[in-house]
Amino acid sequence: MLSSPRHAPPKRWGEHIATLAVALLSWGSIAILAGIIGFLVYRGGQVLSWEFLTAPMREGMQKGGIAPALVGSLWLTAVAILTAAFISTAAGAYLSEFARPSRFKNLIEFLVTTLAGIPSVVYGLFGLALFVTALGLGASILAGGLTLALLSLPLLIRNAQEAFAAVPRALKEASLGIGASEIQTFFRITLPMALPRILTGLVLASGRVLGETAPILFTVAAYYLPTYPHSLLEPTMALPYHLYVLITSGTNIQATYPMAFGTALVLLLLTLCLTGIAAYLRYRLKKSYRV
Amino acid sequence: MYKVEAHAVSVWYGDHQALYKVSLQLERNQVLALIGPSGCGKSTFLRLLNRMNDFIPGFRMEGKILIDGEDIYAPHVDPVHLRRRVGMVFQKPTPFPFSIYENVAYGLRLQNRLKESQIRERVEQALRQAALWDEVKDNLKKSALALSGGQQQRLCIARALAVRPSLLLMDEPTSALDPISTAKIEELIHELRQTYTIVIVTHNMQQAARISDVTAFFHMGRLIECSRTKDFFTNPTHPETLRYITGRFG
Amino acid sequence: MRDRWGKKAFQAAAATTILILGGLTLFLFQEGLPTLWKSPYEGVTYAVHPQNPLPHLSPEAVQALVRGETTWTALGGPEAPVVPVYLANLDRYVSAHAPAPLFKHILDSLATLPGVLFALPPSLLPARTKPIDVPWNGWKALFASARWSPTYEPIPSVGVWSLLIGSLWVSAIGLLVVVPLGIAMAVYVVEFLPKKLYYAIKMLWEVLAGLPSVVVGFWGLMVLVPWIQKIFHLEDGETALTAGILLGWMTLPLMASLVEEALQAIPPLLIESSYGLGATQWQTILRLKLPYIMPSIFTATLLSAGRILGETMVVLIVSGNAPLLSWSPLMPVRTLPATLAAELGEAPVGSYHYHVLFFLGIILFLITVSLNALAYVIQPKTRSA
Ligand SMILES: Nc1ncnc2c1ncn2[C@@H]1O[C@H](COP(=O)(O)OP(=O)(O)OP(=O)(O)O)[C@@H](O)[C@H]1O
Ligand SMILES: [Mg+2]
Repeated sequence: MLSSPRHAPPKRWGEHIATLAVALLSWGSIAILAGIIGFLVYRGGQVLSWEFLTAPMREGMQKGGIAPALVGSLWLTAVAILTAAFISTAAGAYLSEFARPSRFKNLIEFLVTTLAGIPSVVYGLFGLALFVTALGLGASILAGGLTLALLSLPLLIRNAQEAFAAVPRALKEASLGIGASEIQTFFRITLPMALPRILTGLVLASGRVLGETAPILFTVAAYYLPTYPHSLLEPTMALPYHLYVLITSGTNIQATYPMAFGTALVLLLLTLCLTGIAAYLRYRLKKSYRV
Repeated sequence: MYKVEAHAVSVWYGDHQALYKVSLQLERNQVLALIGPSGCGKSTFLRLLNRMNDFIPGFRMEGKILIDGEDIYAPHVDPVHLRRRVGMVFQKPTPFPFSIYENVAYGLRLQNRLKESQIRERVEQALRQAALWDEVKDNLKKSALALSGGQQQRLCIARALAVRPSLLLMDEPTSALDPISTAKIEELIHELRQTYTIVIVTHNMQQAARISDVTAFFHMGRLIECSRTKDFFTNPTHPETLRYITGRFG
Repeated sequence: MRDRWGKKAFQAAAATTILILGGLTLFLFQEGLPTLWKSPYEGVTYAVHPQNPLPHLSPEAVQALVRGETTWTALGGPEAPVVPVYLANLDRYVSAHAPAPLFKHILDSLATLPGVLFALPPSLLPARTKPIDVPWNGWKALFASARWSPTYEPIPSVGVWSLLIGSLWVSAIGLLVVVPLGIAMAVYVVEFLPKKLYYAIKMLWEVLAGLPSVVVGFWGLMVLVPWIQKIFHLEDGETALTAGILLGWMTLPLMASLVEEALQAIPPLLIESSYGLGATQWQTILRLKLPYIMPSIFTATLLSAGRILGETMVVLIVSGNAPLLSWSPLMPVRTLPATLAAELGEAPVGSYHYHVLFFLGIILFLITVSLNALAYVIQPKTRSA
């Protein structure tokens, strides 16, 4: 009566199959990620050497290393993240700490979401029109770095906003209660407490920025420039664009493949390290706040 | 044969013991009210009866629970099947974000394929039983979320009734409702006892006195007293029961 | 007082977002909109033999004449072979280093041919010719044609349809991959994944989201392209399908985490109600949970579509890059962003080509912004239940 009497409950094979299906799809997608990483580690590992990391390219980019591109990428990332760090932290602080619910605040939040959805290649266009042409910076590290900074702002603003919001209200109120002003409270309590999360966001963003290609295509990246930049107003090579050049427009593509695998691996490892560190930090932080 | 029998039921959530050797019997077509202070194990006991506790990680039980004489925790029992025979209504109304009609039909569509005409029939029947039909019959397609709280709760009762359970569990079904809606639901429970056996958790002792045939008083995971409601409130045998119903508790 | 100014500084930082979006819009439109009224042959005069009766020619007719796809006779002109003379093909007739008198003499003799068609700056045009009007309509050129050949001389073809359709193919395939896969993955994570692995999988999502797209594109080129080629017996595995699959996969973290969030936000009592009515786990998923989060799935789909539409490098590398009208996902395509990335480097600042590319940028900007704005506006407000 209650059950189909006296034998085991029905197996519901349909349910098991459905469960198996979603599990397979999920792990399958993850397996592709593992496949990409494994493939590049295997093929790129054969090229990787000290020389590869520290020497400039030679012989039509078929020999030598990738040092100029590596250095260029680091410069770009540094300029972008340093610029974006201040603006995004201040903007995030405003949204989380100082803004009363108002039209202005809603507008900014809406804009942050909107900006986050604009494709990076459009930021590249903007960088070309504004920094390279209108401001006359030319194709330079500064122009590219600023373009990348704009690109990473939405992500960073949201991150900073969440970081400030996660600081327990009680602490802020305690500080206000003993007579500290809002700004004092912010610099002495809220900012130090939120800093780990903000830094995590910056690390994550540098991983993203490092791998971006489209925004630097027209604002900074040099096709072939095997020297190291002396100032921020010079163009430079960069890892992602170098990889793109190697696989699509080298003079002898077959011969440049080993270099391409090496470059891809270096780029992959750098971004993996940065995103890995950030992700690890973030989930540790999340756990520690939860308890 | 009793409708519900509990034999020395103990329950643990992880290391925490929530029920201590609870035993009671309930006859068919009776209303059992579970009362007691917060955290005493009323909901735990109620949720044992349709194996809702199975979902809670760390849940463990000892003892036996029989419904219609059958051990519902025996290995061959399918909890899904059990829940189709034991309906449940929660503390807050829980309408699904579908139309009124689809809410009531939800449970019916889960089972063997009924024809749409049969479903329509049973939806109407359930809504009538839940005394909601007259209020909603003209807009069955309307979203259930647009109903008032009391209507939503009656809708949830109708939804539970539609699958034709023989036992109905209610966990503080009126605690989120205004007095008028509460009165309607109490009236409804009164009607339903003709056909159903009902177990209801309530914090309101007047309510227990008004609607139940049997009352059980829980305290700190133990069943302190369980007797006919009339005797329970006029002539409690246990000093703690007396203290509780006279409000000198805790 | 100090506090007030401090706050103003923070407010100013927040206001940079307005500046950025404003500046972005301003520059895009400033550089892109001239496409609608500027003609690609400003400073060039079209002229024909004085006896040529035609009063004007359409740009398409000029293109067809130059390409040899039509004749003067077909257009109602003289019965003579077409002799197009324009800057890019001048050296066919006379070397650029020829002395000025010779240069002029050759142009003059070309002008005597009845089928001649000049497209030259007025200073170079021989005297004995009849100027002919070639009216340019920017809208028509952009939207009434599917031919993309923006540097073709003397008149470029800038029909955006092949690119739009390329973007559409890739996005459609990408969404077909990411929507079901993202939902499946979110369901798996919420319903079946052991709690211990939860943070591990979230970390993997983060890593996947952070993969440089050029690296993914490279892997696609090395591995996926040959597979697709083999599976479908194609001459070339660089197709819309290849790009769509990769893009869908790359967008998985976005889609899956949005759906996961929505699933986690379903009120537990609602879920218990479903189980209480005798639903099984999958019945609860399919009949309650997924319908319940349908609005969130919809916004997640919009956001994913925006992401896929804007992705550049992967498409540039694995989609074959042919600006052709594709009627099958197994054909190569060229999307809007890939076109920008491939061509803007070569377009001189201020040239017609440059403006057209910015116009493509406007289209891309408007599509992605409206997708995101729509998602923002209709995003399900946290329901109370
Ligand atoms: N999911 C759970 N996990 C762990 N412990 C639980 C869980 N649910 C209930 N408990 C514990 O079991 C005991 C009994 O809880 P129960 O919900 O049955 O009480 P109750 O009588 O229904 O209280 P209330 O009147 O507040 O609803 C309490 O001590 C509670 O903390
Ligand atoms: Mg309870």
